Parts: sequence; C-alpha cells; structure tokens
Amino acid sequence: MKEKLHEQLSALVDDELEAAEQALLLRQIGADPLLRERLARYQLVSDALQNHLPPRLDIGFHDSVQAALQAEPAIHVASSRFAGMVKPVAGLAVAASVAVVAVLSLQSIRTEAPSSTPAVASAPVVQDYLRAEIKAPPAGSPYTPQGLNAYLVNHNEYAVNRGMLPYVRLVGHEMNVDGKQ
Amino acid sequence: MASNKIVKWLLPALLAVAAAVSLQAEADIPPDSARQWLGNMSRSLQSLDYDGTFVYYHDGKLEAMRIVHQASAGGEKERLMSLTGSAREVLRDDKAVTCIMPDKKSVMVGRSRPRQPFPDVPADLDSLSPYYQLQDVGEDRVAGLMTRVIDITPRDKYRYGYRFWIDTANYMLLKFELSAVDGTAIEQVMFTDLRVGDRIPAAALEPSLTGEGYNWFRQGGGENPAAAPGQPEWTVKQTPAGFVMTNYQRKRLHQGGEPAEHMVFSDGLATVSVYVEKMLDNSTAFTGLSSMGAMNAYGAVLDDHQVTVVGEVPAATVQSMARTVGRR
Repeated sequence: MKEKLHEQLSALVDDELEAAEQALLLRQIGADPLLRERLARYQLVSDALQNHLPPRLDIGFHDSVQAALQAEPAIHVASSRFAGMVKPVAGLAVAASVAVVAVLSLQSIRTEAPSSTPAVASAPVVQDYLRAEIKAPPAGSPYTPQGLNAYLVNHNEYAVNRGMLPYVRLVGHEMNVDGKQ
Repeated sequence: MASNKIVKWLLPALLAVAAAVSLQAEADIPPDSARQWLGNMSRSLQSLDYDGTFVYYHDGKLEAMRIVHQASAGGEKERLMSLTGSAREVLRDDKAVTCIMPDKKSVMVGRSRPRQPFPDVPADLDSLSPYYQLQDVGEDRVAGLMTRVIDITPRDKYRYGYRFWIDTANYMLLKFELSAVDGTAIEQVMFTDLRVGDRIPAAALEPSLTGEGYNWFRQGGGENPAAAPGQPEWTVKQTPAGFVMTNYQRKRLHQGGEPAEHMVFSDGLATVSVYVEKMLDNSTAFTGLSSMGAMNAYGAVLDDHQVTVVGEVPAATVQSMARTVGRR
C-alpha cells in the first residue's frame, strides 16, 4: 500500500500520473506532512541527478512554495461550497507542476550545455528514478539474498578504503540476478 | 500566474549554478598530487565526524541515503541508511558490520576488518600505471563547494574507471562516479547535504530498527590467528593482468555451512573475492552472472563446491576468474 503511494509520488514528480489519480494523491499530500516531506525528497533527488543543486538546500521547499501560493490570491475556485476543500489541493497541484517545470527546464539546460563541461555532459539523464524494481532471486537458492549478501558483506571488508561506499549498494538495492538454477 | 513567478527566479538561479559547473584545468600540477588527493580523501573519510545526505544513482534508478560517521579514540562508528524505498541500514564499527533489511525481515552480522589505505599500492605509480591512468583533472564545484577532481582511467576492460570530487577544504569526498572502460557512468554518488566536524549525538548512530522478530544471520570466525588457514586447496589458474592474491582465509559464511575458502585478489584499486564452499545440497547452487550496480558476482559449481567470484569489477573479470578456478 505504502509502496504504491511512493510509486505514485515518483510518478507525480515525473508528471506521469493520470489526472484522476493525481487529484487523489494531491489530496493525500495536502493532509499528510510526511508525504509532503517525501515529495520534497524525491524532488531533491531529481535535482541532484541533474547536478544543479543550489549551494544551500531547503528541504522544506515544497512547503514554502505552498505557503507562497496560498498567500497569492490568484487561484480561485468557482464554487464556494467546495472552496475550503479544493484550495489547498489546487495550491499543491501548482507546486507539483512547478517542480515538474523545474525538472524539464533543467533537462533542456543540459541539452544546450556546451561540450566544454564534461562533468555535466557525462551525467546520464534518468527518467525512471526511484522506481524500485527488484528482480527475484533464483527460486530456492540459499545464496540469495542472505547467502550472496553474506559474500558481499564479507568481500566489502577487503575492498580498499573508500569509506562506506561499498555498502551503499547493499542499502540501495537487491542483486539483479541473471543467473540460473 | 504564480508558477511563472517562481520559474522566473528559479531558472536564473539554476542557470547560474549550471554555469559554475565547469572544469578549470590547471597546467602546473605536481605529478604525484593526484595520489596525495586520494590518500587525503581516504584519511578524511576515516578520521572526520560527518553527517550527510547523498543520492546514489545506479541502473537507471536513484536513491537517497544518509550517512553518519564518528571517529574517536575508541575507533570508528558508522551508520548508513536508506531514505527512499525500504528502510535498510548498515551499522559498522571496529568489530562488526550489521545489515538490517526490513524488506527481508533479516539482520546479517559480519566481522569488520581494518580499512585498507586507498589506493592500496606502493608510493610510486609504476605498479598502477600499466592498468590505470591517474590524473588530476582540475577544479569543479559541487553543491557550491570547491572540489578537486581526480580521475582514474582503466586501460583495459577488466576494471572500472573512477572519478572523485574531493572537497579542497577538508578532503571529504563530495561526489563519486564509477564508469565502464568506454566512459559510460555505472554509478554515481553525490552529497546533497553534508555537515563535517559537528558533534555526532549517540542516538544518530543507533539503528532505527531493533531487528526484533527478524531472522538473524551471523558470519562465523576463522580470521583469528588461532584458526590458521593453512594452504589453499583451490586456486585461480588465470587472472586478468595485474590481479594478484593479497589474502587467503577460511571462514564460515553461512549458518550450518562448511567453512569456505576465501581468496582475495587486487590490482591496487579493484578487489575481487573468490569463495569456494562445499555445497550441502546440489539443488541450491547459484550459477551465472548477477549484478548490483557496479558489483558483479559469478557463480559456478565445481566438484560439489559452490564457486562465487565477487568484486567491484566488470562482469568480464569475475566471469573469466570463475572459469579458471580449480584444485591446486
């Protein structure tokens, strides 16, 4: 259930959510500060991928955008009967679309960047970030996940020192297993 | 429109950041300075207190994580946790490595070892240079901080390339990229927020999960002097150029399993482990190739033994080594 929600959040940042689903999700986000925080994090991740983070990061970005939007008299909802309910949702919808605009703008910046900036140019453009796609280990094998992970943990301790970097993989994701039984 | 207003200030700000991200090559770099930068980075990662959030990109996916590191007279303590997806955690100190995986309802405890220096090669570059080119690329900015960029380019398909963005103020690693021999990025790690030198509260190094009700897996010993490993019964008959055996141990890695032979091979930067373990049951073999970002593993069965070759090296390396494993 939670995973589905997180997938929807990711899709929202990707601007790939159906309108009906989007409305429902935005309502949930409006009511849940933890979801708002997660949305901000997903956005942060997206920005980081684009290599265009500002020097100081404001994790409360979406909340401040929402606050700014709510202070704006520009958004009007026709029916006063639903106004109280719909307004924060509409505000968030704009906040989310701003986020999407920012991502799209960054992608176009990247495209236009001159070739003299190798660090930026070499960074891949990723469309489906945050979609945890876990391949199943071979059925019945004790070597995954605990088994193979046991080798990996043991091996990491022999790798030359780059801090916890080797463990990032264990925390990050499952083994993609192409092996056969 | 409100959104236009925001985009109006957001875009110039982002453009300014984009413009700042350009590499400035420096002409008069001492020949051994790239190595010194890496050595200093290795020491900083080990000796500084820090708490940071970073993103990890791999296989077209991006994940956010937090790392907390404390160095004291009592040794190092680290905690690494996922901020996206399942709340996995790794805790490490001078004695043990604990991996908590709530999605698998499992906890694995392994023994930690003293960290090897990086790069783990003699001070002269000769032993490294046949296989890699080490280069100080110049300066770059990461999240507003000035960094020195050090490149390690592989000379063949059996190893990866590395690029490090090292903070010029404190030698912390702010960004890291690992790439294939053709330059394709395979993994990227970048800090989005990092506090260095602040006091780390004890609670920040405590796991957020108790592991209660989980399955616990503990790796056995075999690395103490009393349990002499003896001579290896197995060998890797052919290794890619530059990989030499640097360690050999016998250890029990799976509960109820036989002790495995563990051979460690290194070319000074990349490390490959070869495990040979007597199988309890033929039906449980792991064969073929598996990958986890830049980490590749290759499994094969030989005389009722499970052979597993694991390393932060291309698939070709683990595969070619696994195929030449045999009895001594």
